[in-house]
Amino acid sequence: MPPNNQAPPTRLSLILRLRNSGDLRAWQEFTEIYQPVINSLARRRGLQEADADDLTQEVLTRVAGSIDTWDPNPEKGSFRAWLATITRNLVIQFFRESNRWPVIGMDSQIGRLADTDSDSSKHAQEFDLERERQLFLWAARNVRSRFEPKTWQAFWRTAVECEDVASVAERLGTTRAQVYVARSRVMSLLKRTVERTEFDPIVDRGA
Amino acid sequence: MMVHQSCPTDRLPFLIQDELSPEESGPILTHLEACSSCQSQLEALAAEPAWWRRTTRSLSGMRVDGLGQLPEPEKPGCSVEALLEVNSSHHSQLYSSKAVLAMLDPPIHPEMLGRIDEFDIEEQIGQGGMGIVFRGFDRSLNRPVAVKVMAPHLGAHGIARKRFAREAQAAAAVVHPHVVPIYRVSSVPERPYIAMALVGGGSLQDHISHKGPLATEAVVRVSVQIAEGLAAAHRQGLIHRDVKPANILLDQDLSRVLITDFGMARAIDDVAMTQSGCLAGTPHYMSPEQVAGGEIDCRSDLFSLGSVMYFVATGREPFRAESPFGVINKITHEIPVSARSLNADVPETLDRIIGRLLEKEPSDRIESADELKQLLTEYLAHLQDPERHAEPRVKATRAARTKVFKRIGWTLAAVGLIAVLSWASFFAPANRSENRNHNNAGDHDMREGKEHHQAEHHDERRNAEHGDADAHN
Repeated sequence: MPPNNQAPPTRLSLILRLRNSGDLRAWQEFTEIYQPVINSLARRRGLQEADADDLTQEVLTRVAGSIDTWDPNPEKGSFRAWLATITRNLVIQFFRESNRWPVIGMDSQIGRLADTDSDSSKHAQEFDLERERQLFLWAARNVRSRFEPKTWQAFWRTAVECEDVASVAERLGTTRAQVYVARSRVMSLLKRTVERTEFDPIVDRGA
Repeated sequence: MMVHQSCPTDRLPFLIQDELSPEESGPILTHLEACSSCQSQLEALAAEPAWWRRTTRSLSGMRVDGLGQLPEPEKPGCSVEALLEVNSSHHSQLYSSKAVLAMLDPPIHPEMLGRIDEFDIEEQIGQGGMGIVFRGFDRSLNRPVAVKVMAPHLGAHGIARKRFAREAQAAAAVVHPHVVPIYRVSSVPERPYIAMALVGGGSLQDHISHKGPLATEAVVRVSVQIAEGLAAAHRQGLIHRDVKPANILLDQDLSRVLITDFGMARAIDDVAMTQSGCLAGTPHYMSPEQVAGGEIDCRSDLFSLGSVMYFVATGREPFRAESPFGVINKITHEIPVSARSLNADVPETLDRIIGRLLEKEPSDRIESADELKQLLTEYLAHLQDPERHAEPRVKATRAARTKVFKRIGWTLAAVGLIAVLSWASFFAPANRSENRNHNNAGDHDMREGKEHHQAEHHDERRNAEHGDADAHN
């Protein structure tokens, strides 16, 4: 069925690979995953598309410039939190410097951008959620081509769209056992792909 | 959930990995069709329930067509190469220069960056793994200085700071024309720094990078000076530990070189090792015993100097690899190609001197900086006036000697073999009669072959003699 579902041999965390300057693939992965995260957060905070693009660029550039100093000590906070903070600070700075606050929902926007702890933690949560989405999307894109379309559909319809296994099996013209096997195979590789790029373990927030 | 005895539980991991033959998987699939226990088991093996939940939650909102086609990735608004570049340029600096500037007192004059004690800080002239170097001016003594302010993350590290001060004080005690003089060492926790003489001509690293390798005489002239400076430090028991082209500074008119940063590598390593478990800075010039993390002595500096000389003579480091780890591996295991093979202008003697410094085993190296200085001084004299000064003789490297010994060994063996055969053929008639007496007829063919062989060698010898005779005529 799957042509090749072996996980990549190394499980060096992405952050170590980013520090090994010259690792183009690590930086590609990093950009593919985090660029949409930062961009979407900036847009949600009311930045126009072009501004959001600039801001994203700025955040990534700062990461590139200071990843070597970032202390991977979990007590000092996760990498995600660090990235979220940079993003947030730059968004605030953007509005402060450009002196143009978003027009829509102005009051609430200013309230949300206030430099308070509650805003900060809310922002971090939002960041985590978006990151999780982009991370899985990125992994799914990478994994999908490694499986036959039927295998992938069996996984997608049952595991993502929560369709009933029996009906999916019937529609794909296969057995239920095959659907279970198919989605387990995809899931197994997806998990390993996500794990490989995670900077730090995610605390599952429950279903 | 009930696990039946007939459940093929131990086969399920292989089923996920697709490692079963169709004959094996057939019955299992039949079983799986009906056994809900095995169905759950299979999914738990693929990933924990939390992973299934995360997957559903993260991917369910995607706009996906009926075939599970995923949205295309957004086009990168940011070039990955640009990020890489930013990262590499920051790679060796583990701090921001802003943080260091914040440590200065406000400037008196608006064109200055700030002040530290009696020094006016004028501008940043360099940045390394250890800190930032500023050009400053000593108001009390009315002279320009270089002020090296230790990076905040190093200063905050008590052991590193103390070591920094200790090494700097030890280095300050080395007064020598080829060692950068240190004027002041301050180890106050807020901003540890060293003030030293300002050397105007940039580093040997910059010089070679811009202008390419030096000519032989210049290589030797520079190396004598480094050896002298190291010898002076070694006499006081001070090991440099980080001899590299970036730590060799050139005087304004490029006629004199001065060594800087004695012992500093140690202070940084303390922090780098504790923070990331690896060494800071470039490993290109480290000695094998240094990368092995063992005890090192003055001879480690000699190895590094050998690498510096190699670089100065060829424009390339002797041990090059894609990653620091690759470099370390080569330093430990590989004998670099000779400098002479990279740059044909490098004379045999210089090549040998470099080779003798790059010996893996410290006891195989030229013994001391003093001895090296002697050797290079003689060599320089020879280069400048070959008529009056003989070229010093330099022992070949261990590897080259081993090679020669091997060659000599083979030659001796070959000569010996020919001699024995010739001798045997000389007495061949006698042997033959003996053989005839003692051996039976079954050996006849073999003997024939042997005689034939001997006769050939006999001819060879005659030819050789003949040739000799020709040569003598």
